[in-house]
Amino acid sequence: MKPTELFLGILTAVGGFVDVSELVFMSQAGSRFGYALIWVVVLSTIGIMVFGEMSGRVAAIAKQPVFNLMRHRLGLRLGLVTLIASFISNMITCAAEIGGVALVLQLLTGAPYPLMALAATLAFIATVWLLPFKWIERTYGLLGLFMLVFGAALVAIHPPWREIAGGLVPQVPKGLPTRDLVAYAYFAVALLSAVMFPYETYFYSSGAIEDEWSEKDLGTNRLTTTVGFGLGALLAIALLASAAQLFGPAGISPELIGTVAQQAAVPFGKVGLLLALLGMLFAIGGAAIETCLANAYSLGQFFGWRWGRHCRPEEAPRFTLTWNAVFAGSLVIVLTGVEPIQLAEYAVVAAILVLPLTYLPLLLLAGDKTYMRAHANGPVAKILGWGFFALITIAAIAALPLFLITSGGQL
Amino acid sequence: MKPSGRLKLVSGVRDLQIVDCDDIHCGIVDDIELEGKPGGALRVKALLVGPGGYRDRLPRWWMALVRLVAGEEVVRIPWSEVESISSVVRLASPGSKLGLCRGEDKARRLLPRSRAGR
Amino acid sequence: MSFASRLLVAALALLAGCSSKQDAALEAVKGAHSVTAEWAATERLAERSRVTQTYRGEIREMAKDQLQSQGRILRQSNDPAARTIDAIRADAAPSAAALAAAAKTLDESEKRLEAH
Repeated sequence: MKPTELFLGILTAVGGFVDVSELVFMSQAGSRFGYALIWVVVLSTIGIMVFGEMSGRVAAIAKQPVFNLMRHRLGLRLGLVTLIASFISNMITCAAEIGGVALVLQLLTGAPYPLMALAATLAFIATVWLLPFKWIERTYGLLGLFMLVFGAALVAIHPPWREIAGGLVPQVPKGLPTRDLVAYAYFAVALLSAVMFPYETYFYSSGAIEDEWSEKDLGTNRLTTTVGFGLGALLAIALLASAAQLFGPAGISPELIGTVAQQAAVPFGKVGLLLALLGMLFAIGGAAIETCLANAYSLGQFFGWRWGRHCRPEEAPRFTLTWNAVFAGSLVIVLTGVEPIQLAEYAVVAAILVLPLTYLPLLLLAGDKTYMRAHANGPVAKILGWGFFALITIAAIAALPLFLITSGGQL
Repeated sequence: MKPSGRLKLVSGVRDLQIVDCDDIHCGIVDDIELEGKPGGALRVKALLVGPGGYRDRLPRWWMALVRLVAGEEVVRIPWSEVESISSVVRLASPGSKLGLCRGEDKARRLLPRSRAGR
Repeated sequence: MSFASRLLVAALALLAGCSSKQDAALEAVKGAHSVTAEWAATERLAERSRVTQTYRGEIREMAKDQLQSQGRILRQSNDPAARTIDAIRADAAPSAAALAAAAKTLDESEKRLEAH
């Protein structure tokens, strides 16, 4: 692969790393617990690097996207349960992203929210209908780089770097009352889920097949997942640290998505605000398309349809109808008036429940030498893979009780 | 063939992607139809494709839901049509000739005619 | 349904049922406190021309909408914080200082409810 292509691929991964759930949870976690949850972001990023790399490698070598191998490995019953659960989780996530985009458009233009939700959905449908796969990914990923203004804003407000570095150490804050300790645990699980969203793996591995990856693309895969996701995580940490610095002391735990943009307005004024809103618009917009396509990919792969944006719509009609229907369904959810922040909270809980079922078949196939030959998981990938699998399983068990006890982190 | 070998064939082929001779994805092996009598040889007769193929694999109430959502159509692909088995099942004929493209044909009629795409 | 699944459903139902009226009031006060503080921060930035007028106006409308639903919950539990919310909502364009004062009052209500 050409160096420019590789560079663009990495930048796309950076720009596409943050979505509405991360915006919400990073800001709320930072404002409520200071820098104490940074280590969870780092840990989850290593997790998504491990499974992202694995899914890209399996796509390149075994030519198997996630849902094909899920059904073959888990069997029809468990496969169907995973399909339905992930479909619901992705649909809620897609609705949260569309709602988030509509709110940002409302803040930019002053136009009514339902109208902006409709306009955003139509724009997404037009994008997917008209652009080739690579350019869908790139347009939103590269324009999402406006989000870098959040990194610059953190530097500009001169945060206490030593305290931020202290957040890298796994910790449970001392002296917190039980209520806050439970909320801390909830935010830890929510951040893990928001960073390791299963749709990212479905989309990434299906994209690798769309781009016809082979053995020669393994280097690109490794660099995109490590460097791209790593730099994206720095952006997420900047959001958390700025919130700790600016929002926590002011008693703000962002209830309005638009407040997050003030992180850039404080040091840079109107220009900072506009860059932040534009970055949010494209990053969240890209995630809306990814979640929608992830659902169409999942159904197509589970039932063996012809799928992918490399096919013309009439060559893959069921796939085409599905992604259009997912956009329409998500818009209906948004128009019912549920707050996008609330949807994002439901989405992370639903996603963590699906994570173990998504990653188990991937782990099994990536370690299978019959399919993966010399590229099967080595000792490091095995230890990391099974370690993270154990972690997400524990998080999945704890997620729902924590959500109910803390009322979605509100208590 | 040993009994374990036969079982492996069933579990190894079920739920695999089916690809026809033109490289077109045209379904998943939803179940396998076997023929034979006790004491005699057991042979694979056909691959079953379509929601009707779930009948022996899902509890009754799940199947009722599947029937409600997707119907219970099933297409039988004679075993002689199977050319090879790897990470996919490859067929010797076009899927359309074997009745595997009906779902795609129905969906195609719902799409607006367009030159957009690639 | 297996015994384990039934046990899980029962436990979840129990957890969901644990959410008392007081928890609902605390949740509403916490939300209202944050929204008021967010609105105050926006007004402070607007006074220094660091945000656009469109942004300021939309945040104001969004904050008012959120406060309306939180105020409704607090009125149902006869919480005095409801009066603070009503006072802010009645003001067409409250200043940053007035909003900051309201946020402080709501913070005190939050601490009072948490202490119970």
